[in-house]
Amino acid sequence: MIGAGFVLYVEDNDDLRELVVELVTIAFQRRCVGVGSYEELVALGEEALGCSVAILDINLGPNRPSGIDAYTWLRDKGYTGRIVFLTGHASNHPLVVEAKRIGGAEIFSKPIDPDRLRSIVEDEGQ
Amino acid sequence: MTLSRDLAIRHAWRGAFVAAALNAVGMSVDFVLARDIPKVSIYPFAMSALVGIGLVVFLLIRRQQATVRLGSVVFLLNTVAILVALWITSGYWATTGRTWTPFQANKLGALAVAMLAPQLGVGLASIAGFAATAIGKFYFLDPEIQRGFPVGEPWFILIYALFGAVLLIYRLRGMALEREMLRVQAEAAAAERLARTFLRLRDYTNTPIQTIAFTTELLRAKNHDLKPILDRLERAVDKLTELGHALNSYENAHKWSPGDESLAATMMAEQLFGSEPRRP
Repeated sequence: MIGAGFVLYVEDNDDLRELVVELVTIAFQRRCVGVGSYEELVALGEEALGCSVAILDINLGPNRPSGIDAYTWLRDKGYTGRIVFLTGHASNHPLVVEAKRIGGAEIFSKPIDPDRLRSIVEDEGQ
Repeated sequence: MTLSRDLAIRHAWRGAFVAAALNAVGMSVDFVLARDIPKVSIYPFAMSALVGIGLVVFLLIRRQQATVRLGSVVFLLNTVAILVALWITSGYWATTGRTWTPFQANKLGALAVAMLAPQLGVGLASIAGFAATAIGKFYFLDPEIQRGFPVGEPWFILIYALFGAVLLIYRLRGMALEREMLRVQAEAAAAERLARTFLRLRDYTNTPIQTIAFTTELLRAKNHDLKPILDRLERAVDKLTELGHALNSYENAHKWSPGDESLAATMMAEQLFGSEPRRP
């Protein structure tokens, strides 16, 4: 059962998503669930809302709902955990600008150091 | 995009074309007006008009291979034809015995050159030609005819020449400024394209670099014996990350337009690989 203490990772790149789940689980000793799209996140429903920290890739594919949509869905559903955006795009990319504008979430640019990822998943209460 | 050199060529071609066309039309009209003058010959009018027509045809044929030099040469040839014709025809007008305004065509020519000359040297030479032929012709006329000229003639042509030269310089400087602006715009557009390509390249590589970095960490957690190898891999990742940071300076140089973000991945893949888009 997914819930408290879990790390939620939304990333459309299959390799990276599966890798992060494995890394968080094995190296950081935390439970992690990865979803590949906004639709999968919504399908996860209450279980997603129970996670302690949500890491969202900002761009979830061309002409697809973005990480910002995922953020909005989480907050609209009453999610109170920590939310972190990851992006591989420039800081002036429209989606990144939008993510900065809405506030309430930290933004990290790829590639992040594994230690930074560790601190994100471990400082879930921040 | 129109480049500054394209603009210069276009101006030169158009100026020469209009000058040649005005020659053909103007000389034809001049002949119609002069046909009742005793002993008038059609040849100088026809020679100049035909040269004008010939140059118009030549310019149309060479339109795709036009250069500034071509425009200048044609303009100069056209001017020479007009000057030769005016040298002869002004003699007809002067000997009519009727009141006439001397060297109107020369004065008009000096001002027209200011509007049409492709280059400064050609323009100044043409203006000087119009002035010199008027003054020279005056002194070739019979002194009796000279005395019948209005007060101040033929020197009024110098005022026209001066105005023509000033207008020519003013116009050519304006065109040079316009070309410089186009050049700067073209450079800015090229820099923007370069910045966009660099940023897309960086964005494209960020996720693969992230994957390598996390894989290294995972392998480190799984197998401590691999530490020396993974350290090297980590240093390589650090270098790639530094490269990405170095490209950050291009972020300010690139302004995202509406729709750019959805096209970015596709265009990146097409530019780099000629394949379907892959996600950064």
